[in-house]
Amino acid sequence: MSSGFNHSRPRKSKFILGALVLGAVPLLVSTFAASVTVGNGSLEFGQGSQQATACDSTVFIAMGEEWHPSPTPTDPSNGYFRVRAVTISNLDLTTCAGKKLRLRLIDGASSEITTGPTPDSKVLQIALPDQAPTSNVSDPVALGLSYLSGIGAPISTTLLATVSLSVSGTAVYDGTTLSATNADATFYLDPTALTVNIDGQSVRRTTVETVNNPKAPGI
Amino acid sequence: MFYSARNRTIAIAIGGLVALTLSASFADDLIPQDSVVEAPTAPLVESPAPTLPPQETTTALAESESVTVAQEIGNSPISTPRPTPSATNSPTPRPTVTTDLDLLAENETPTVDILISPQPRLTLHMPISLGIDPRSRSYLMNSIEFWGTSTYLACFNGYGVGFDVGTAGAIDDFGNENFIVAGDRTANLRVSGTGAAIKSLLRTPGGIRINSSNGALAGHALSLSLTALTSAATDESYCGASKATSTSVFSPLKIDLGLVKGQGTLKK
Repeated sequence: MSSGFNHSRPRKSKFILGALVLGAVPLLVSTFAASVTVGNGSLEFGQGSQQATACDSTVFIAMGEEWHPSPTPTDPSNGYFRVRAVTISNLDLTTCAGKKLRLRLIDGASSEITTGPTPDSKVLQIALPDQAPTSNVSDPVALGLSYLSGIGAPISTTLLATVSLSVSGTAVYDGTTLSATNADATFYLDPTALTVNIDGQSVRRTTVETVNNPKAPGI
Repeated sequence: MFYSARNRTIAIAIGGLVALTLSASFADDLIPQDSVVEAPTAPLVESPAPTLPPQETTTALAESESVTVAQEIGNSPISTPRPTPSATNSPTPRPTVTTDLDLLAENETPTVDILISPQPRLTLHMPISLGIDPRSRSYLMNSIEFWGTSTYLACFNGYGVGFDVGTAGAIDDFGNENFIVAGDRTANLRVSGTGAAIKSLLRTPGGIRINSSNGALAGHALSLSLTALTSAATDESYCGASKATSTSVFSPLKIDLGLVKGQGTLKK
């Protein structure tokens, strides 16, 4: 007949082993939790391709939005935030002088978003002054504001957009002081908000291009 | 038998200790940490596109609720109930002649609660995601819309971001404005005034700029709550009484900066 004493050593060992295993569980849990927390902080920086423009490698984009009401019979407060303006910031007007500056907005399906009154208006373009301006310019004619098709063909249509080339004041992008080498080029898509109303949530990509702007002979 | 019972007792004791340790560990994991940025924002950042719901803006609609002042305060984070003006509450009748001392005492302890209860109906719109340059560390916030004629306390809370009102990089004195500001250049900004005054501040070119406290803005978030008050105040305890709260997350835009060669015309 076996006594309880004879079984006490194996039982003790089992208890100690069990206690050790259970005691290690909190450590494991803490380790996994720490890993998750660290992982959550990561950010996939610089998605998509980023190439430098020929004249300025460090331009930035800032998109301004405003509320656009679109009431429905069931929801009078319905609406969305439309793209009011897109600013190309930190633009060096000395190295980019005389170039054409083009802007495209692209949606989540990689399609160009219409930015003008006609469906083929996919690009907004201005011609930067040959010499860096000393004051802000907002004359769309002087800046050659125009619409282009996706392949860059000029479009003759009503101009709804306006533009501002700012060399004084504060930058929209980061609030720094503007200058000829840190200028803002802001495209206002449709200040009347009557025709071109792009939902800000649909814009997933912006494209900035500089294009050589050769002058006609004799000019 | 004696040893068996003792071993069982030891086992129960060890088991109890382990259970206590485990529960404490899980509790540590569940309790929100100081850096509240990571939990709410990270899942939205990693895959911003799929997380966008069909609704394009976050909308907070504050419905009128038939609750008393006491209930409202009880449900809010306001720690100490504020006394309501009532002559019957005073155990001893106050003298009819007001002295300077009485005025001082009344100024020190407000006797009128400025929190409107029930909170009026209020619609607040903010974009769910704010598309920004992936390198951006700063953003001028004006994508906020609300309707209301009351006086409000707007409570901005930043998750990994701070708010800078007015002059960039400076703590402004808005003494001459028709709104009051507390928490300039912090992650908890409070602006109080009429709805029109708050909106005008938002529309000002130097209005409310959001700065990242560490690295790029993308992935961080902000929330705004509006509380209706009878007069302007920036007491943080009123923020919790808001029924209109909305949150926006900064999402990185994909950007392409490219060179396109101009089309040349060959001379004949």
